[in-house]
Amino acid sequence: MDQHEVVDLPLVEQIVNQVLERLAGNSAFDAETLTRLQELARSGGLAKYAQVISSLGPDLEG
Amino acid sequence: MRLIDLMVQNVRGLTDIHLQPDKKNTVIWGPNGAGKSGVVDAIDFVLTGRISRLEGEGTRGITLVQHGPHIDHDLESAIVTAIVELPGFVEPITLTRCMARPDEVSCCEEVKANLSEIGAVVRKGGIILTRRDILRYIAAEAGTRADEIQKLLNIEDIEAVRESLYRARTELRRGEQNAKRAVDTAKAEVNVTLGAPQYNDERLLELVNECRKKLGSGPIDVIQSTAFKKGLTPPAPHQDKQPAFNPTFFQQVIDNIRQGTREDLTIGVARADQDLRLLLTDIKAHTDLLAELERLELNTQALRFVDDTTTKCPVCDASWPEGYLKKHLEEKIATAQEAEATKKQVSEVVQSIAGPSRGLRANINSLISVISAIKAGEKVRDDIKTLSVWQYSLDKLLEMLTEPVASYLDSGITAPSVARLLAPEGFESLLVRFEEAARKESPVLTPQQIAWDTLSHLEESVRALENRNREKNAASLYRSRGEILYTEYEQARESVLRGLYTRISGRFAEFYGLLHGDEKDSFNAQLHPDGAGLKFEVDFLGRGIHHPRALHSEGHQDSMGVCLFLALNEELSEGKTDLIVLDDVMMSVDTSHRKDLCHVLREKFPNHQFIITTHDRTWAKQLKQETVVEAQQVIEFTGWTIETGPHVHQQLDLWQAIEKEIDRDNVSEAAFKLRKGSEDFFESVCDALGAEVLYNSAMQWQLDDWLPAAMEQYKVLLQRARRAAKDWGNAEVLVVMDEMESVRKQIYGRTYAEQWAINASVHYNNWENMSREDFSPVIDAFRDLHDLFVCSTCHGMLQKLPRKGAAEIVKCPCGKVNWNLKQKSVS
Repeated sequence: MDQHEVVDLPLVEQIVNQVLERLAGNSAFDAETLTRLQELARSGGLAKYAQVISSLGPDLEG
Repeated sequence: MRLIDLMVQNVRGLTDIHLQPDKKNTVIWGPNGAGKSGVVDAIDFVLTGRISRLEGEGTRGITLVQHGPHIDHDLESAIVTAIVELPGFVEPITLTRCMARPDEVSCCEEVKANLSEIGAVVRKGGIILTRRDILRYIAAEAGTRADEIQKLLNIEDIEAVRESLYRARTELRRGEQNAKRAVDTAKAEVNVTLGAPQYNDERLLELVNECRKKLGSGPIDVIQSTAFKKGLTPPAPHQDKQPAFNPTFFQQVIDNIRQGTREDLTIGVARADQDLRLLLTDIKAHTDLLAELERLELNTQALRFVDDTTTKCPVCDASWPEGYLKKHLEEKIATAQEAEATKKQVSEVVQSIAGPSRGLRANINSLISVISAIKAGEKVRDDIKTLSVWQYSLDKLLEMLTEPVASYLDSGITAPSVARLLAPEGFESLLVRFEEAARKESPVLTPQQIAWDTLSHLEESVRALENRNREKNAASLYRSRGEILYTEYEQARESVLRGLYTRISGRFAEFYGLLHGDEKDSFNAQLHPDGAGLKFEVDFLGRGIHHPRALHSEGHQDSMGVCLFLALNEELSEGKTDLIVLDDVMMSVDTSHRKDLCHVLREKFPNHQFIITTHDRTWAKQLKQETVVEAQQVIEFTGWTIETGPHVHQQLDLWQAIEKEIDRDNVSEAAFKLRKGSEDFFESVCDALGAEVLYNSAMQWQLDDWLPAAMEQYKVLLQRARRAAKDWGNAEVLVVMDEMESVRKQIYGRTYAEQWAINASVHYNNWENMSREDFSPVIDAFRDLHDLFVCSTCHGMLQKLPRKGAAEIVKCPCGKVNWNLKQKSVS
């Protein structure tokens, strides 16, 4: 499955939203990264984020 | 989505049929082999382009191309057309699909998008329930059941995201390891200038400040590459000539290499290599070691749910003799811990080889750089190539050491060659030749120039180290984020799925309670979320919990399956389809429980359209009596042949059918229909009111048996209701009951007067001579009589409750009719 296609399913969204809520209080995720993560989660789900951080790493910050 | 019309040509036992469900619940009944399931296949095909019955386990050799069309017909002639109501579309939509082109459906693009969503639900088994599906849901183990349910609920994507995050975590862990190795390599480059085998901050700062002092400046106290030359100016070159190289640095590199190739060091590396080979051989011989390490976390968690009495695995539901699972898990954890210790040993031994190799490689790299700047003869240029080969070999060794378990033993690097990699044959002569060449070209440098050059080397290598450290810190942060994301996702997934499973379990329990509430003390089925699985716990007559397939009847299994399917169906994406197809799934359920299922379908799914197939006429009749389907929506399939397919008989409402015959002046046929219709009707009345019918050994009863029994029972029950109303002093109800009794007497009187007209023994000679005027009073009398037994609001049949034992109330399905039969004195 193309990771970019993992989108907008209610249950996945519920999970992603829970994850985002939990990350809000985690020191490994600053506000800017969280915002970027939320944008990515909205457009492509956590799978896309996983792909971005594993393949591009620091580019996430840009 | 609701089905309005279905036209099938040459598909799966059907030659040419036209059904009109008209968005309503519809029952298709007929004997086995009448083509009922062909209708289910046709619906499946027109919505998805495939037939699920021809796919999956046990269907090898069965294909849509070969077995989709009706026998002896080609793909072009196998066509299904459905007229459906789709959400968001005002007008009905016509969908046509031909088996020659199963992926093409004729409809507009907008509809196609909508249809593909519905098709996805159908394809996952979301709207069609067969007996095979019931076994999938009920008979499966918890994990398999959860997998099937995940497919149905379209939540496999949750697993896809989890896998993606898992892969990301693995990548990020690897990335961090690579970044750490890059830091080690950068430190080795710094060590070349430090002239030390190990990186040391204090020694670095000391050297920097020694150089700064020689250049006339004060010390610095922080290691920062940009600060090394802060406040310094480059010294003037000796004799205004820039030196080609720094002979002091050159000699230091040569000395470093001699130090790095000392015999005691190469012997140490060779021993480490031997140790590593032993460890890796041991790991390879016990492949379970690392596999167990992978599962250490899982097994440790599992052990928390297990004790000496556990007989079922909390992860996969497998059965274990008492005490064995705990022992098994403890053994696995011990193996994993052993693997962890071995892995740590491997890591230490690898470091014993990689450390010296990395240092040597860095010095060779510097030597190549310095010696290349010297004007030297051809022999030295060849020697530089030899140096490059040496450096390459060390690079190769270091690469093999990054994933030693996977690659070291098969790398082609042999035990004797490792020592030679560190100190190749003839390397000392090589160094001597470089020293001679350097001596010839050696420039004269002032102490300040040497200090400046040293600072330049340090500045460059420490800058690289700073960059590598930044990258390592970033990699550690990303690894940490990857770990956190994965963990948080798993926890959120667990929580969301548990919520989902709890909702499904709740609905299942509710439906099941409605079906088997009377047996709850002796038979109790519950569905539990169980980790990522769904577990059934089924009590059998108070004798303990068993697998639902172990002791329970097929009837119980069928009703469990239907309840679970209905509970799951509610969780499917809202608004995509209201259609549910139940394909002969109630065959093992007894009559009284089927009535309860009618109640569930009618009351709990009022906005759905059910298409129900059955070979059981009684079940078809029950669906009609219980007002789940209207009379017109009972379709009978009979007389199937290869040439014609089934004969399809879609019933009209009895009175419409009779009127139709009267309009055609066919009194004989009208009388026949009235008799047959009344026979069916009063048989059902007897069943619903618990009327006593005289037994006959031929097990065949006619209207003459059903009618008087039903009328008598109605009269008795009405009298009891009147007595009860009087007993409770309920004047208002008593007035209504008296009025009903009066109506009953009047209708019974008319019925007795006209009953002769439909008497079986006289119909052939007398009906022929009757005019429509003669027969109209008969119809009116019987119509009024039928109406006595049904509710004027819901048109459902009156029913005595409880079904078994003494009657307490008489009710219709909607509850408008509700006679209390219990008197005060006996209540």
